[in-house]
Amino acid sequence: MVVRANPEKKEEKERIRHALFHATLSLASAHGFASLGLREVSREALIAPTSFYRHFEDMEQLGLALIDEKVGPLLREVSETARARSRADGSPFAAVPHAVPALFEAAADDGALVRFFLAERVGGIARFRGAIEGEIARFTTGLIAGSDAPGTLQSAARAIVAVLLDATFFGLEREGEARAETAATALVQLEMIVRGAGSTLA
Amino acid sequence: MSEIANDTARALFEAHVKHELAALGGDAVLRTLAEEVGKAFDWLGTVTLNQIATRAQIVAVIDRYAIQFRIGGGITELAGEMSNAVFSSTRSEETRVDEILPPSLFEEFAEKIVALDSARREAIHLVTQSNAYGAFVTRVLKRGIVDFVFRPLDKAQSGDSLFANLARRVPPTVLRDLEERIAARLERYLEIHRERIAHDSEEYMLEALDERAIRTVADDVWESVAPMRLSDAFAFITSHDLEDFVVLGYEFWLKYRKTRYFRELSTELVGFFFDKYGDGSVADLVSDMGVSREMLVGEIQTFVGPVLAEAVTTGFLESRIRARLAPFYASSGVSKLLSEAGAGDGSG
Repeated sequence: MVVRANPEKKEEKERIRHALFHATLSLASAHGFASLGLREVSREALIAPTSFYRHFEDMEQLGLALIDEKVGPLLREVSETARARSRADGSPFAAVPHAVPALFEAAADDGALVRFFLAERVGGIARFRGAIEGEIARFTTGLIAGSDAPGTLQSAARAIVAVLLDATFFGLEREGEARAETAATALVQLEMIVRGAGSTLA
Repeated sequence: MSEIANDTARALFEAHVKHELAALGGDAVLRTLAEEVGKAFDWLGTVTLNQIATRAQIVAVIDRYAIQFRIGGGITELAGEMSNAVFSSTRSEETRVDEILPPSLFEEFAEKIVALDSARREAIHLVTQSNAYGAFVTRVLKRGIVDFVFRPLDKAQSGDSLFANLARRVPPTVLRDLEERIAARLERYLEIHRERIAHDSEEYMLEALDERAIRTVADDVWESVAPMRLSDAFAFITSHDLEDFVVLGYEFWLKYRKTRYFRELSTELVGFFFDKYGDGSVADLVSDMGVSREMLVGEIQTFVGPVLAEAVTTGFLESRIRARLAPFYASSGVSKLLSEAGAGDGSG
């Protein structure tokens, strides 16, 4: 008789991992990540806290996995969407105006994830800040080609992404017209940065 | 697998495989193991711990497995599940507390705890000096005094309060206002004298909770707990509480093992261990740990016997023996030896 690993076990592991992510985001939205304990998160994910360690060493590792597996892909998707919607006019800033609605749409689809990442960008856990900084750097390069090299383009790109993320943060807290106004203000600010860098938004 | 071209080498290889299988199958292996364990014990009687291991090696092992090693998630899960299994076992419904902790043993525990006089004094001191205790005492005193003054001694005797006569002459609102004013003043007074009250109550408690009183409390508690079924005793804790305790204990261990204290203490204990056993024989050390050669042989026979039997039945053992021996019999060295011995390659 040959005893093999149960394929369903792998799926079950994935399902629980997803449930832990979901529970963390849901609780962090209300109380902030730093205040969460693994027992609370496990119960929210409907697993025994003693089973948590099957999936993560501790809450910090869970948070880092969230950034790597959820935040990174989300930002990549946003930059790809913005690039796809822009006209290839040769300007490195062509995708920038499209990033505003793309980010707002992502926030509308998964507000808890966007809120988590924006909060932890300036939160108290140094490893989270470092990991998010890395994801933002990749997002910046994905959105504005050539911005990884030091110079005016890089400075402008950083200012642009800061405006984008701030606008998304405020947009999350607003609805309807107030949200549209936040997006419009962000576009004006972006135009100013791009003009300052000697270019124009498409 | 290596190809054995030489016919004689192939025949020797097959004979060797057969020999190993016979030695490792059936009762033969158990006899061999018993014999080898016996010989190993004899040998361990001639070597010292210092000859076979160093302090640094053991400290490194502790570092690898106790400090750095990541404990598998399955272990904590199993610990939680097994704790729950214990709590929900029907055995717990059939077993009384005093079957697990016999009264005589409880007596000894109680006596020992009662005798911890300095611990009792320190515990009372810590409790009475705490803010929580101060707030509690202030509240109880205030409530008690106000009740004594404004409430009847007995619900049935409505006229017995200190202010009974006054209560009959003034409107209820005036009396309520008076009660509130006195309660507020009393609270201020108690707050100002909180330190002295705490100090006094520490003395009262030391007197009230003397050895005899603690022993009486322990006996009273034991009297009600001893006949309880374990399941009833466990009912005070839910499965969630149990899981939480497993997690809390595990989290504590994860943090504790990384402390400088644990690292230095473990190094110190290894030193102590080597000071005590380093120059003695390993056999003496094993014996001090309560392990005898008979125990070891017995356990090996219990666990290794069935594993080897299964490995023989499934062909696993034979395949491993062949894999280990084939390269030797296929080697040019063996061919050369056989040629020199006149047992050349019959195939050619």
